[in-house]
Amino acid sequence: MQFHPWMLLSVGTAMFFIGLIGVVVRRNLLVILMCIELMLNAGNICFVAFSRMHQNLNGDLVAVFVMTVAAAESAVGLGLIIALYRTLKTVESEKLQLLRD
Amino acid sequence: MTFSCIICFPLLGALILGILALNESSTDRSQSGTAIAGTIGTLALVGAFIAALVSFFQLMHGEPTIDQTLFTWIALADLKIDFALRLDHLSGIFSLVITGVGALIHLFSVGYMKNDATPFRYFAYLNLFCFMMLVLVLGSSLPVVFLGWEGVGLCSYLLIAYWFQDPSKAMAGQKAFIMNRIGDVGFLLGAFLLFKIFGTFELAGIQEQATSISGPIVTAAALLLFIACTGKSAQFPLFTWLPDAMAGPTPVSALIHAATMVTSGIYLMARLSNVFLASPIAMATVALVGFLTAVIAATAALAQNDIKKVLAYSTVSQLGLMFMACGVGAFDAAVFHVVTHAFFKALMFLGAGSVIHAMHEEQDITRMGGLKAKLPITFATFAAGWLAIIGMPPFAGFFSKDEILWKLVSSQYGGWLYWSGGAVVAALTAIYMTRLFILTFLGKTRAEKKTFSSAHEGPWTMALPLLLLAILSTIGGFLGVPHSSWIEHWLSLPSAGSVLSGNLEWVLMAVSTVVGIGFAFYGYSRVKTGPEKSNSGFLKNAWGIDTFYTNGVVVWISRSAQSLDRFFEEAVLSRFVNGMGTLAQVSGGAFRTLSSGSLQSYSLIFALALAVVLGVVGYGWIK
Amino acid sequence: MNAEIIAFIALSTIALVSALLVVLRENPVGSAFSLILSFFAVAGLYALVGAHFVAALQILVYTGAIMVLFVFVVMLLNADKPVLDFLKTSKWIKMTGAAAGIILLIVTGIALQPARTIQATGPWSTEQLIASGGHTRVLSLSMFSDHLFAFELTSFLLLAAIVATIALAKRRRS
Repeated sequence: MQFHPWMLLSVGTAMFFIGLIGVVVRRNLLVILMCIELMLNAGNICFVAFSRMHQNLNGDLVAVFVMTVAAAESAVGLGLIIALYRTLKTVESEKLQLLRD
Repeated sequence: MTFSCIICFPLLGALILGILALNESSTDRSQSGTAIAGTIGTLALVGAFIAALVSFFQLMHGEPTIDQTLFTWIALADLKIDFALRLDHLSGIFSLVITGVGALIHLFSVGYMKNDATPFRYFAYLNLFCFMMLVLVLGSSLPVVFLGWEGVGLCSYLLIAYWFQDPSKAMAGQKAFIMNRIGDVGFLLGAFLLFKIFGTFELAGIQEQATSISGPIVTAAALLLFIACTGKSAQFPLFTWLPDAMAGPTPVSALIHAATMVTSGIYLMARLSNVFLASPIAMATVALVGFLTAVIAATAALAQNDIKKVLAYSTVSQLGLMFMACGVGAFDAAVFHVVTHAFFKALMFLGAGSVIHAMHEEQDITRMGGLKAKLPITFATFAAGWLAIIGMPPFAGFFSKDEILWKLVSSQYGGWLYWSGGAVVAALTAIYMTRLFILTFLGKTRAEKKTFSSAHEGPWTMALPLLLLAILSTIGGFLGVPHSSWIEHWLSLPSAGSVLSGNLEWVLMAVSTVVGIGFAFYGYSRVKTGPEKSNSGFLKNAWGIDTFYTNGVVVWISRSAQSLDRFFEEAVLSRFVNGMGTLAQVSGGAFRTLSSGSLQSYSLIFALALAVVLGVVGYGWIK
Repeated sequence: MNAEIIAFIALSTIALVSALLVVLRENPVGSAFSLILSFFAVAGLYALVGAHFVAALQILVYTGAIMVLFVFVVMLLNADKPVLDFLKTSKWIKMTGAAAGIILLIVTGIALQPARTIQATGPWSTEQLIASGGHTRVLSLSMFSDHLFAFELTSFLLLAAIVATIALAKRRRS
């Protein structure tokens, strides 16, 4: 059987949904951020697969930029968690309910 | 220009007096108020009378009508209704009566209401009433007439309930207004039906076109208009408000409930006479209802002990007689009787007012008597009115009543049956009026000594109108001497033809004179020795009709309103409205759980929303 | 059954299983390390399809920078104690989440079926890439000429992120 880009696409899709479930289910803020990174990575895989499908380089290029943005975003997110930790003294998402009615 | 002065003077008077009435209080009694207010009010009416006289002379010199359009009232797509006035022969007569008798009654009120606390309010209402009545008779199209129609109903209510601090007087005013309102429904429906048939609201136009049409729809319109007349002119079944309306001041009763407002029904019928002539069924109904009312009221008047109530029932009975005349197509005779009735009934009401004023507000005739010596002017003038109403020649009532009786028998719609009905009414009138006159003025007094000895005539403001009206009651009849009747020639209303020869008329006049004198003696003999021991409750209550209304109709209406309130308002509407509130609260609470502040649930909602969006897009894409 | 497919299956299995472990492990450090493993496997996948530059960047940026940062923060905040937070999550959320994910997976799988038949031919097939000097060379040439503006913007973005993070995480002088 010949390798075809859609196989890569399905791997990316599956990884995306694993990450989505993880965001919903886990309660540790850091793990939630890790699952977000997982989702971004899955998006990257899909881009690369598309690039292979259309025999183009646009997908690869986008994947590079997404990676950069993901790095910046995770840095800022972790900074937020550190700042939050100072108030909450914990990283449980349950404790982060200051907006409650 | 002079023409519109007729209505402008009373309107102006009402406005000025009304504004001045705003800073009156009902507890501060100052004497000079009545003089000032009375002067303004009377002058307004006198001015209107002069204007009416001038315009009347213009008509007499040959102009058929005077029209004046004041402004455009309603202008819709195809419909244009102007506020237009029209003086022709019929409305000329009516406007003279209204302004003339009105002016005299204003003058009388200056003396009668001397001690009243709110004279400005009183005279403002009186002037407003005169304005509305003039709009009614001078209006050239049905909407303008309706404006006046409603307006006089309103003013009647305001004046009957003038001393509204007393709940029974306020209730009397309410009763009058509500019964008038029932009639007004008939007016509106009739007007709309007439518009549908004839395509116009103009009275002249309707009158012209109605000669060439007939059929059930015209009957329906005529009957609806007659319902309106029933309400306004106190005929069966809507007459019970008039005796109660005696709660108002006596000059008010004289003006509104004797001379002017209650004659609006006759005016309407005379105006639209062709519509009625086109429908024999309606004519027969009118005559029958008129007769029934006349008999009920006349028998009730026999049993009343309040001087004003006797006069009130007498008014109802005389109006019944006028409607009988209309019912046989004798509109000229009915209008003639309106004029003479205005003279002598207003006279008798004012005389009653003088008596009441002298006897310190005593109104029960069983406690009067022997006032002839104490109140000579009132006695003489009241005697003139009495002789007029029982039909003694040559007083006014003789000519007009006999004209009606003649027309009852000689018209093509009438007959001997109608005549005998009218004769019965005339006989009863003679009995009760004589009874009233004797019990009030003659014999030995049954009043308290103190009251009786201090009784005296009123001031000149009360005596002068009495004298003038007495003169008119004496000579007013010569307006309509048979076979050379000026008023019939003047009015020339469409009427039914005559089927009997004219000489019979003189014979019948003699017969009715004898009948009148005879029954007057009978009445005299009944009360020669004083008032009756006890009066039949049935007659006193006007055959129990009013009691039926109060205990039957009104109770039924209020009970059904209460049960509607319980079963619909409380059970359904309140629950519905409160349910809306509860629904808002509950749904708000439900939605509030969404903003829990928990990251988990937020991300779950994100995931679910994403699922939905992807599902939709994917679905569309697969297709 | 050639080497390509075998490699692909192996790498993708590692990637997916370690992704699952990220979600399922109790210990945050364990999650972090599973994620690193997953990233390595994905880099391998990139290399397999010929996107060598992206593969290199994946290892350098994702595993080398991001995951190191994650482990630093986990250790810094003493969040490495295993927390039995699975037990505390409401059963309903867990079940709904799992169900939603599976359904989505199936739906997306079905939706992606048409992708099987795309046979576009573009300018850069694998042979041409190799012939033009390799993926890295071609991609970087393209990035620094046609897409220079986006590149510069990205560097600004990184600058902004650095400033923001420092401002956020700085210890306050009280």
